[in-house]
Amino acid sequence: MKLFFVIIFISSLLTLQAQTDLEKWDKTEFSYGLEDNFRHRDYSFESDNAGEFILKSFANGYWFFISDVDGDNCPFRPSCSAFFLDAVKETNIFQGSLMFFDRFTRDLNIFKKGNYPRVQTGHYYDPANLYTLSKDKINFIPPNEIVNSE
Amino acid sequence: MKKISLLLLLFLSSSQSQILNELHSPENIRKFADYLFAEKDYLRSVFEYERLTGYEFNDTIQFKIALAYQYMEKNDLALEKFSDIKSKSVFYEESKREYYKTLLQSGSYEDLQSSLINKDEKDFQRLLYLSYLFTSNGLPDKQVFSEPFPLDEQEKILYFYNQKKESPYKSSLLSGLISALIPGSGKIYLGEIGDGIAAFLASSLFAFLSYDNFSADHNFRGWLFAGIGFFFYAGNIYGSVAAAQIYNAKVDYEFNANLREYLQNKNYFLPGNDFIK
Repeated sequence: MKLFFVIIFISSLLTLQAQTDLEKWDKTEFSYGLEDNFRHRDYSFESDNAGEFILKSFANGYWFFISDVDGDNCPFRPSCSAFFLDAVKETNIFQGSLMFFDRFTRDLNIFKKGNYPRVQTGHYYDPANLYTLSKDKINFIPPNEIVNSE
Repeated sequence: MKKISLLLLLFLSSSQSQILNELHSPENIRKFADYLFAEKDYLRSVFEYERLTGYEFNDTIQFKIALAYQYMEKNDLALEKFSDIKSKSVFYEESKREYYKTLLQSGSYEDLQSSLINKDEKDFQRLLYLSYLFTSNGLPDKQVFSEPFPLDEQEKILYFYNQKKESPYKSSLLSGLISALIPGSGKIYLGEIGDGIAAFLASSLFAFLSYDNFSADHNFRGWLFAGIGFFFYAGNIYGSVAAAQIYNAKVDYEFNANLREYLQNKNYFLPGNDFIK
């Protein structure tokens, strides 16, 4: 009888050991909304030189007082204002301005659908490094392909 | 009675472990690994083959591990494994070919070209010439280029050769120049008709606004619209040059993608193996 209880005790210990679901599952918080680009904006004034500081101040002012209030309307990623900042950082103020006006013109084109790869939120992916006139920086991505990073 | 039941329990547990041991015998591991390999589950097949190397040395397994890495495009590991195969092995010649194929697949064209430049075997010559299609240097004459390839594939290979020799690039200089003459025309030349029309309308609109304000003696507004119009005009010339570069990058991308797809379908003109059944 004693042996019987020992076997029962050992087998129940083993069964207890096999129980891995000690932490109960719980519902997870999940949002089905599209992520706002505003959340990823860098509002800092960190700059390498005075020109960049002035430009960053204008961009921050535009984002804070106009763009964030107006809503996420730019169909491109990076948005036109972020593109301008990237363009100036990659090149210089004059070339960056030309790149920005070219981007702005392309934004005016109402038939641009299907011309660009997209990011996961559905915006057109069009980074500044494609337009610096440096062939080494051109990383061609076919239209309508989904790009992971914004 | 107690003793008998205890013995029965012990016997059952030992027979259970015996079944487990048989499941993990080298023969069964090999069968499972081959099954995974044939199912193209290469990562797990490598894991099983690696377990087998603990029991025995087998060059077939070594070769299959290297092939699995190659199929997964883990090219560095594949190159390492192919070069580990000894010259005494029956897979030595095949592993050399697969090694160079992996170099071509991984885009290490210069390494491939420097290794194969003096080799006369047709398999190696084909790989060497194919690598020239991906780089912009060293493309031999058409006759010499097509010679190592099978007759029925020469037409297709020469199509790629001609595409490489005379790529349908567009001139960035011409694109910029015609955009300077008529805003937007450079973009239309590149096939971006919508962008071209938008550029023409934006430049024309600001030119008209500037002219109209100067005519009405509103000089400040005249200069303002002239300045904005200038940036639209100059930005379009700049954008046309940049768009021509992107167009040419697209031509290269499509050429490489088509060529790569064709070569993968033809297994880079190398004899296949019957491991996948």
